[in-house]
Amino acid sequence: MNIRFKSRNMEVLRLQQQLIELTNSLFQEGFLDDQFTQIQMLQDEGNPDFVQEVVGLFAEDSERILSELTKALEMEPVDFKKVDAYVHQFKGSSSSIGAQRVKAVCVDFRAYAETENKEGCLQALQQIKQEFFAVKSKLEALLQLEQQILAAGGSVPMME
Amino acid sequence: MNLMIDEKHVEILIAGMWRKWIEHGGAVDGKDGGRILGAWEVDMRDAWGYSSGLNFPSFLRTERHGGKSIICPKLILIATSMTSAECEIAKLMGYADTIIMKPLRASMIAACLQQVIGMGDESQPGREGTGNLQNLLCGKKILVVDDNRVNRIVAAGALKKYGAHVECADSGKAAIAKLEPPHTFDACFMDIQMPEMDGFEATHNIRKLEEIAKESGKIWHVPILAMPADVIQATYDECVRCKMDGYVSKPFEEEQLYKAVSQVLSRT
Repeated sequence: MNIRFKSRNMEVLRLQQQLIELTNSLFQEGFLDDQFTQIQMLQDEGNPDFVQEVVGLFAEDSERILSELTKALEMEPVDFKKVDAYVHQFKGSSSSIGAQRVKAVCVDFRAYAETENKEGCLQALQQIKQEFFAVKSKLEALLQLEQQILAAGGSVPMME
Repeated sequence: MNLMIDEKHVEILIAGMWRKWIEHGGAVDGKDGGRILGAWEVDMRDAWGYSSGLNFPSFLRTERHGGKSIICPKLILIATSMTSAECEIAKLMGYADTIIMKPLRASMIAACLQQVIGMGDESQPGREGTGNLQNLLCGKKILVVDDNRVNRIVAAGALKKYGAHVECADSGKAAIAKLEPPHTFDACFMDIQMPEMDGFEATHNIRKLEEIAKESGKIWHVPILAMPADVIQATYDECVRCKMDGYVSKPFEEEQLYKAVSQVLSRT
Protein backbone atom coordinates (compact mmCIF):
# COMPACT_ATOMS: atom_id res chain seq x y z
CA MET A 1 0.00 0.00 0.00
CA ASN A 2 2.70 2.37 1.03
CA ILE A 3 4.88 1.52 -1.91
CA ARG A 4 2.01 1.92 -4.31
CA PHE A 5 1.22 5.30 -2.83
CA LYS A 6 4.85 6.31 -3.20
CA SER A 7 5.10 5.29 -6.83
CA ARG A 8 1.92 7.21 -7.55
CA ASN A 9 3.43 10.23 -5.92
CA MET A 10 6.55 9.87 -8.03
CA GLU A 11 4.37 9.78 -11.13
CA VAL A 12 2.66 13.02 -10.14
CA LEU A 13 6.01 14.68 -9.48
CA ARG A 14 7.33 13.54 -12.85
CA LEU A 15 4.25 14.88 -14.66
CA GLN A 16 4.37 18.16 -12.75
CA GLN A 17 8.02 18.56 -13.71
CA GLN A 18 7.12 17.93 -17.35
CA LEU A 19 4.35 20.49 -17.20
CA ILE A 20 6.64 23.14 -15.75
CA GLU A 21 9.25 22.48 -18.42
CA LEU A 22 6.71 22.60 -21.23
CA THR A 23 5.16 25.82 -19.92
CA ASN A 24 8.54 27.47 -19.55
CA SER A 25 9.56 26.50 -23.07
CA LEU A 26 6.30 27.87 -24.48
CA PHE A 27 7.02 31.26 -22.95
CA GLN A 28 10.73 31.22 -23.72
CA GLU A 29 10.20 30.34 -27.35
CA GLY A 30 7.59 33.08 -27.62
CA PHE A 31 4.63 30.84 -28.47
CA LEU A 32 2.71 32.34 -25.58
CA ASP A 33 2.79 35.66 -23.78
CA ASP A 34 1.51 36.93 -20.46
CA GLN A 35 -2.08 37.01 -21.69
CA PHE A 36 -2.15 33.21 -21.53
CA THR A 37 -1.14 33.39 -17.87
CA GLN A 38 -4.04 35.80 -17.34
CA ILE A 39 -6.40 33.23 -18.84
CA GLN A 40 -5.03 30.50 -16.59
CA MET A 41 -5.72 32.82 -13.65
CA LEU A 42 -9.35 33.12 -14.66
CA GLN A 43 -9.85 29.41 -14.11
CA ASP A 44 -11.19 28.52 -10.68
CA GLU A 45 -13.72 26.24 -8.95
CA GLY A 46 -16.60 28.18 -10.42
CA ASN A 47 -15.08 27.88 -13.87
CA PRO A 48 -12.95 24.72 -13.80
CA ASP A 49 -12.57 24.18 -17.57
CA PHE A 50 -12.06 27.78 -18.62
CA VAL A 51 -8.63 27.31 -20.25
CA GLN A 52 -9.79 24.25 -22.15
CA GLU A 53 -12.88 26.09 -23.30
CA VAL A 54 -10.90 29.09 -24.55
CA VAL A 55 -8.30 26.88 -26.27
CA GLY A 56 -11.07 24.81 -27.89
CA LEU A 57 -12.90 27.88 -29.25
CA PHE A 58 -9.64 29.38 -30.43
CA ALA A 59 -8.69 26.19 -32.32
CA GLU A 60 -12.15 25.83 -33.87
CA ASP A 61 -12.38 29.46 -34.99
CA SER A 62 -8.81 29.53 -36.26
CA GLU A 63 -9.27 26.44 -38.41
CA ARG A 64 -12.42 27.91 -39.90
CA ILE A 65 -10.66 31.22 -40.60
CA LEU A 66 -7.68 29.43 -42.15
CA SER A 67 -9.88 27.53 -44.58
CA GLU A 68 -11.78 30.72 -45.47
CA LEU A 69 -8.50 32.55 -46.03
CA THR A 70 -7.20 29.75 -48.25
CA LYS A 71 -10.39 29.94 -50.33
CA ALA A 72 -10.36 33.74 -50.49
CA LEU A 73 -6.78 33.80 -51.78
CA GLU A 74 -7.59 31.25 -54.49
CA MET A 75 -10.26 33.55 -55.93
CA GLU A 76 -9.50 35.68 -58.94
CA PRO A 77 -9.48 38.59 -58.34
CA VAL A 78 -8.73 38.40 -54.62
CA ASP A 79 -11.13 40.34 -52.38
CA PHE A 80 -8.49 41.90 -50.13
CA LYS A 81 -11.10 43.56 -47.91
CA LYS A 82 -12.45 40.13 -47.07
CA VAL A 83 -8.95 38.77 -46.47
CA ASP A 84 -8.25 41.67 -44.16
CA ALA A 85 -11.46 41.06 -42.20
CA TYR A 86 -10.55 37.40 -41.63
CA VAL A 87 -7.04 38.28 -40.52
CA HIS A 88 -8.51 40.89 -38.17
CA GLN A 89 -10.59 38.13 -36.57
CA PHE A 90 -7.57 35.90 -36.26
CA LYS A 91 -5.50 38.67 -34.75
CA GLY A 92 -8.18 39.37 -32.16
CA SER A 93 -8.52 35.80 -30.95
CA SER A 94 -4.78 35.08 -30.99
CA SER A 95 -4.14 38.18 -28.93
CA SER A 96 -6.94 37.28 -26.51
CA ILE A 97 -5.42 33.87 -25.89
CA GLY A 98 -1.82 35.12 -25.85
CA ALA A 99 -0.64 33.22 -28.94
CA GLN A 100 1.94 35.86 -29.63
CA ARG A 101 3.69 34.34 -32.65
CA VAL A 102 0.39 33.88 -34.49
CA LYS A 103 -0.53 37.45 -33.63
CA ALA A 104 2.80 38.73 -34.99
CA VAL A 105 2.21 37.05 -38.35
CA CYS A 106 -1.31 38.53 -38.42
CA VAL A 107 0.17 42.02 -38.23
CA ASP A 108 2.35 41.39 -41.34
CA PHE A 109 -0.54 39.64 -43.05
CA ARG A 110 -2.81 42.67 -42.66
CA ALA A 111 -0.13 44.94 -44.09
CA TYR A 112 0.05 42.70 -47.19
CA ALA A 113 -3.74 42.68 -47.48
CA GLU A 114 -3.92 46.46 -47.21
CA THR A 115 -1.35 46.92 -49.99
CA GLU A 116 -3.10 44.19 -52.00
CA ASN A 117 0.11 42.18 -52.19
CA LYS A 118 -1.03 38.70 -53.14
CA GLU A 119 2.42 37.08 -52.96
CA GLY A 120 2.92 38.49 -49.48
CA CYS A 121 -0.52 37.27 -48.42
CA LEU A 122 0.17 33.72 -49.66
CA GLN A 123 3.48 33.67 -47.85
CA ALA A 124 1.87 34.97 -44.66
CA LEU A 125 -0.85 32.33 -44.96
CA GLN A 126 1.73 29.54 -45.02
CA GLN A 127 3.53 31.07 -42.08
CA ILE A 128 0.38 31.56 -40.06
CA LYS A 129 -0.69 27.95 -40.65
CA GLN A 130 2.67 26.77 -39.42
CA GLU A 131 2.53 28.96 -36.31
CA PHE A 132 -1.06 28.11 -35.53
CA PHE A 133 -0.65 24.33 -35.74
CA ALA A 134 2.54 24.55 -33.69
CA VAL A 135 0.91 26.49 -30.84
CA LYS A 136 -2.23 24.36 -31.06
CA SER A 137 -0.35 21.10 -30.56
CA LYS A 138 1.69 22.62 -27.72
CA LEU A 139 -1.48 23.83 -25.99
CA GLU A 140 -3.09 20.43 -26.39
CA ALA A 141 -0.02 18.78 -24.89
CA LEU A 142 -0.19 21.22 -21.99
CA LEU A 143 -3.86 20.51 -21.29
CA GLN A 144 -3.30 16.77 -21.59
CA LEU A 145 -0.52 16.91 -19.02
CA GLU A 146 -2.79 18.82 -16.67
CA GLN A 147 -5.46 16.15 -17.09
CA GLN A 148 -2.94 13.39 -16.40
CA ILE A 149 -1.76 15.14 -13.24
CA LEU A 150 -5.33 15.49 -11.97
CA ALA A 151 -6.12 11.88 -12.88
CA ALA A 152 -3.06 10.76 -10.91
CA GLY A 153 -4.39 12.63 -7.89
CA GLY A 154 -1.98 15.57 -8.08
CA SER A 155 -2.61 19.28 -8.39
CA VAL A 156 -1.58 21.50 -11.26
CA PRO A 157 1.29 23.79 -10.29
CA MET A 158 0.48 27.47 -10.80
CA MET A 159 3.07 29.69 -12.33
CA GLU A 160 3.19 33.44 -12.45
CA MET B 1 1.37 33.34 8.49
CA ASN B 2 3.70 36.28 8.71
CA LEU B 3 4.63 38.47 5.87
CA MET B 4 7.03 41.27 5.09
CA ILE B 5 5.67 44.15 3.12
CA ASP B 6 7.97 47.10 2.49
CA GLU B 7 9.77 46.57 5.79
CA LYS B 8 6.51 46.53 7.71
CA HIS B 9 5.85 43.35 9.55
CA VAL B 10 2.31 42.16 9.12
CA GLU B 11 0.64 39.24 10.70
CA ILE B 12 -1.98 37.56 8.62
CA LEU B 13 -4.53 35.10 9.87
CA ILE B 14 -6.40 32.88 7.52
CA ALA B 15 -9.99 31.84 8.02
CA GLY B 16 -10.51 29.08 10.52
CA MET B 17 -7.68 30.20 12.76
CA TRP B 18 -9.63 32.94 14.52
CA ARG B 19 -10.40 30.91 17.62
CA LYS B 20 -6.76 30.06 18.06
CA TRP B 21 -5.81 33.64 17.51
CA ILE B 22 -8.28 34.89 20.09
CA GLU B 23 -7.22 32.21 22.58
CA HIS B 24 -3.60 33.17 22.18
CA GLY B 25 -4.25 36.76 22.93
CA GLY B 26 -4.27 37.99 19.37
CA ALA B 27 -5.05 41.64 19.16
CA VAL B 28 -5.92 41.76 22.86
CA ASP B 29 -2.47 43.11 23.62
CA GLY B 30 -3.14 45.64 20.97
CA LYS B 31 0.51 46.23 20.48
CA ASP B 32 0.23 45.73 16.77
CA GLY B 33 -3.50 45.95 16.47
CA GLY B 34 -3.54 48.29 13.56
CA ARG B 35 -1.50 46.04 11.43
CA ILE B 36 -3.05 42.70 12.11
CA LEU B 37 -5.01 41.49 9.21
CA GLY B 38 -7.54 38.77 8.86
CA ALA B 39 -8.48 37.00 5.71
CA TRP B 40 -11.83 35.33 5.82
CA GLU B 41 -13.61 33.30 3.20
CA VAL B 42 -17.14 34.45 2.63
CA ASP B 43 -18.52 30.98 2.08
CA MET B 44 -16.52 29.23 4.74
CA ARG B 45 -18.37 27.49 7.52
CA ASP B 46 -16.62 26.29 10.61
CA ALA B 47 -17.23 24.46 13.84
CA TRP B 48 -17.80 27.60 15.89
CA GLY B 49 -20.87 28.60 14.02
CA TYR B 50 -19.66 31.79 12.38
CA SER B 51 -21.64 30.80 9.39
CA SER B 52 -20.08 33.27 7.07
CA GLY B 53 -17.17 35.64 6.77
CA LEU B 54 -19.78 38.26 6.02
CA ASN B 55 -21.00 38.63 9.57
CA PHE B 56 -17.70 37.84 11.22
CA PRO B 57 -16.87 41.50 11.92
CA SER B 58 -19.98 41.87 14.08
CA PHE B 59 -18.99 38.72 15.97
CA LEU B 60 -15.52 40.11 16.56
CA ARG B 61 -16.83 43.38 17.88
CA THR B 62 -18.96 41.69 20.50
CA GLU B 63 -16.60 38.90 21.49
CA ARG B 64 -14.79 39.45 24.77
CA HIS B 65 -11.73 37.74 26.00
CA GLY B 66 -10.50 37.94 29.60
CA GLY B 67 -12.71 40.92 30.24
CA LYS B 68 -11.08 43.01 27.54
CA SER B 69 -12.74 43.85 24.33
CA ILE B 70 -10.95 42.85 21.24
CA ILE B 71 -9.38 45.42 19.04
CA CYS B 72 -10.83 44.84 15.66
CA PRO B 73 -8.22 43.82 13.15
CA LYS B 74 -8.26 44.88 9.55
CA LEU B 75 -10.30 42.30 7.71
CA ILE B 76 -10.14 41.05 4.17
CA LEU B 77 -12.98 39.12 2.66
CA ILE B 78 -12.18 36.39 0.17
CA ALA B 79 -14.99 35.25 -2.08
CA THR B 80 -15.54 33.05 -5.09
CA SER B 81 -18.67 34.85 -6.16
CA MET B 82 -20.95 37.36 -4.51
CA THR B 83 -24.39 38.69 -5.25
CA SER B 84 -24.91 42.43 -5.17
CA ALA B 85 -26.87 42.01 -1.93
CA GLU B 86 -23.91 40.25 -0.35
CA CYS B 87 -21.64 43.03 -1.59
CA GLU B 88 -23.87 45.54 0.20
CA ILE B 89 -23.75 43.57 3.44
CA ALA B 90 -19.99 43.22 3.16
CA LYS B 91 -19.60 46.97 2.77
CA LEU B 92 -21.89 47.62 5.74
CA MET B 93 -19.77 45.23 7.76
CA GLY B 94 -16.77 47.36 7.04
CA TYR B 95 -15.00 45.33 4.41
CA ALA B 96 -15.05 48.49 2.28
CA ASP B 97 -12.11 48.27 -0.06
CA THR B 98 -11.04 44.85 1.04
CA ILE B 99 -12.86 42.22 -0.91
CA ILE B 100 -10.72 39.90 -3.00
CA MET B 101 -12.22 37.56 -5.53
CA LYS B 102 -10.72 34.14 -6.06
CA PRO B 103 -8.54 32.95 -7.72
CA LEU B 104 -6.12 34.95 -5.62
CA ARG B 105 -3.49 36.80 -7.53
CA ALA B 106 -0.33 38.22 -6.08
CA SER B 107 -0.92 41.65 -7.65
CA MET B 108 -4.43 41.85 -6.26
CA ILE B 109 -3.43 40.78 -2.77
CA ALA B 110 -0.58 43.29 -2.81
CA ALA B 111 -2.91 46.10 -3.86
CA CYS B 112 -5.42 45.13 -1.21
CA LEU B 113 -2.80 44.93 1.52
CA GLN B 114 -1.39 48.31 0.56
CA GLN B 115 -4.82 49.77 0.91
CA VAL B 116 -5.54 48.11 4.25
CA ILE B 117 -2.26 49.02 5.82
CA GLY B 118 -2.54 52.49 4.41
CA MET B 119 0.83 52.61 2.79
CA GLY B 120 -0.52 54.66 -0.04
CA ASP B 121 0.79 54.34 -3.51
CA GLU B 122 3.86 56.57 -3.52
CA SER B 123 6.13 53.63 -4.14
CA GLN B 124 4.20 52.43 -7.15
CA PRO B 125 2.15 55.20 -8.65
CA GLY B 126 -0.97 54.02 -10.39
CA ARG B 127 -0.94 50.57 -8.87
CA GLU B 128 -3.39 51.20 -6.07
CA GLY B 129 -6.36 50.64 -8.32
CA THR B 130 -6.20 46.91 -8.89
CA GLY B 131 -7.79 45.92 -5.61
CA ASN B 132 -10.54 48.43 -6.17
CA LEU B 133 -11.81 46.81 -9.32
CA GLN B 134 -13.67 44.39 -7.06
CA ASN B 135 -15.51 47.26 -5.46
CA LEU B 136 -16.39 48.89 -8.71
CA LEU B 137 -17.50 45.77 -10.53
CA CYS B 138 -18.83 43.48 -7.83
CA GLY B 139 -22.52 42.77 -8.43
CA LYS B 140 -22.70 45.04 -11.48
CA LYS B 141 -24.46 43.86 -14.61
CA ILE B 142 -22.24 44.27 -17.63
CA LEU B 143 -22.84 43.69 -21.34
CA VAL B 144 -19.89 42.56 -23.48
CA VAL B 145 -20.31 43.09 -27.21
CA ASP B 146 -17.89 41.41 -29.61
CA ASP B 147 -18.39 39.39 -32.78
CA ASN B 148 -15.34 37.25 -31.99
CA ARG B 149 -16.31 34.58 -29.48
CA VAL B 150 -12.77 34.01 -28.18
CA ASN B 151 -12.54 37.73 -27.36
CA ARG B 152 -16.00 37.61 -25.85
CA ILE B 153 -15.36 34.73 -23.50
CA VAL B 154 -11.99 36.14 -22.38
CA ALA B 155 -13.38 39.63 -21.71
CA ALA B 156 -16.41 38.17 -19.91
CA GLY B 157 -14.15 35.90 -17.84
CA ALA B 158 -11.99 38.85 -16.76
CA LEU B 159 -15.00 40.92 -15.67
CA LYS B 160 -16.57 37.97 -13.83
CA LYS B 161 -13.36 37.58 -11.89
CA TYR B 162 -14.10 40.94 -10.26
CA GLY B 163 -17.60 39.83 -9.35
CA ALA B 164 -19.56 41.32 -12.25
CA HIS B 165 -22.56 39.60 -13.77
CA VAL B 166 -21.80 39.41 -17.45
CA GLU B 167 -24.04 39.00 -20.46
CA CYS B 168 -22.78 38.87 -24.03
CA ALA B 169 -23.95 40.01 -27.43
CA ASP B 170 -22.32 39.01 -30.70
CA SER B 171 -23.27 41.99 -32.85
CA GLY B 172 -24.09 45.67 -32.73
CA LYS B 173 -27.73 44.88 -33.46
CA ALA B 174 -27.97 42.40 -30.59
CA ALA B 175 -26.42 45.04 -28.32
CA ILE B 176 -29.02 47.64 -29.31
CA ALA B 177 -31.80 45.16 -28.54
CA LYS B 178 -30.39 44.60 -25.05
CA LEU B 179 -29.67 48.26 -24.32
CA GLU B 180 -32.94 49.79 -25.42
CA PRO B 181 -34.37 51.43 -22.28
CA PRO B 182 -35.62 50.16 -19.92
CA HIS B 183 -32.88 47.68 -19.07
CA THR B 184 -30.83 46.73 -16.00
CA PHE B 185 -27.29 46.98 -17.33
CA ASP B 186 -24.77 49.10 -15.42
CA ALA B 187 -22.27 49.33 -18.28
CA CYS B 188 -21.31 47.98 -21.68
CA PHE B 189 -17.97 47.03 -23.23
CA MET B 190 -18.21 47.44 -26.99
CA ASP B 191 -15.96 46.10 -29.73
CA ILE B 192 -15.28 48.60 -32.52
CA GLN B 193 -14.75 46.64 -35.72
CA MET B 194 -17.67 44.31 -36.29
CA PRO B 195 -19.35 43.18 -39.52
CA GLU B 196 -22.67 44.79 -40.50
CA MET B 197 -22.66 47.41 -37.76
CA ASP B 198 -19.55 48.65 -35.99
CA GLY B 199 -19.32 49.73 -32.37
CA PHE B 200 -19.56 53.43 -33.20
CA GLU B 201 -22.79 52.99 -35.12
CA ALA B 202 -24.27 50.72 -32.46
CA THR B 203 -23.46 53.34 -29.80
CA HIS B 204 -25.00 56.06 -31.94
CA ASN B 205 -28.21 54.03 -32.19
CA ILE B 206 -28.29 53.29 -28.47
CA ARG B 207 -27.90 57.01 -27.69
CA LYS B 208 -30.77 57.77 -30.06
CA LEU B 209 -32.99 55.29 -28.20
CA GLU B 210 -31.97 56.91 -24.93
CA GLU B 211 -32.98 60.32 -26.32
CA ILE B 212 -36.39 58.91 -27.18
CA ALA B 213 -36.74 57.43 -23.69
CA LYS B 214 -35.84 60.83 -22.21
CA GLU B 215 -38.89 62.38 -23.83
CA SER B 216 -41.06 60.14 -21.70
CA GLY B 217 -39.44 61.57 -18.60
CA LYS B 218 -36.63 59.28 -17.50
CA ILE B 219 -32.95 59.93 -18.12
CA TRP B 220 -31.04 56.96 -19.47
CA HIS B 221 -27.33 56.83 -20.13
CA VAL B 222 -25.60 53.49 -20.06
CA PRO B 223 -21.82 53.92 -19.89
CA ILE B 224 -20.33 52.43 -23.05
CA LEU B 225 -16.62 51.66 -23.04
CA ALA B 226 -14.96 51.00 -26.37
CA MET B 227 -12.90 47.85 -26.58
CA PRO B 228 -10.62 48.41 -29.59
CA ALA B 229 -7.97 45.88 -30.56
CA ASP B 230 -5.35 48.60 -30.99
CA VAL B 231 -4.85 52.36 -31.10
CA ILE B 232 -4.97 52.32 -34.89
CA GLN B 233 -8.55 51.14 -34.73
CA ALA B 234 -9.82 53.89 -32.49
CA THR B 235 -8.41 56.69 -30.40
CA TYR B 236 -9.89 57.97 -27.17
CA ASP B 237 -11.04 61.17 -28.87
CA GLU B 238 -12.84 59.25 -31.57
CA CYS B 239 -14.65 57.15 -28.98
CA VAL B 240 -15.76 60.20 -27.03
CA ARG B 241 -16.87 61.95 -30.19
CA CYS B 242 -19.09 58.96 -30.91
CA LYS B 243 -20.68 59.35 -27.46
CA MET B 244 -18.84 56.51 -25.86
CA ASP B 245 -17.72 57.08 -22.28
CA GLY B 246 -14.24 55.64 -22.38
CA TYR B 247 -11.78 53.26 -23.82
CA VAL B 248 -10.11 50.01 -22.75
CA SER B 249 -8.01 48.17 -25.29
CA LYS B 250 -8.27 44.41 -25.32
CA PRO B 251 -7.13 42.05 -24.02
CA PHE B 252 -7.77 43.95 -20.78
CA GLU B 253 -4.89 45.16 -18.71
CA GLU B 254 -5.81 45.62 -15.05
CA GLU B 255 -4.58 49.18 -14.58
CA GLN B 256 -6.21 50.49 -17.73
CA LEU B 257 -9.42 48.66 -16.92
CA TYR B 258 -9.51 50.28 -13.50
CA LYS B 259 -8.92 53.77 -14.85
CA ALA B 260 -11.71 53.43 -17.39
CA VAL B 261 -14.19 51.72 -15.10
CA SER B 262 -13.64 54.09 -12.18
CA GLN B 263 -14.61 57.02 -14.39
CA VAL B 264 -17.98 55.58 -15.30
CA LEU B 265 -19.01 53.43 -12.36
CA SER B 266 -19.27 54.80 -8.88
CA ARG B 267 -19.10 52.71 -5.77
CA THR B 268 -22.42 51.82 -4.26
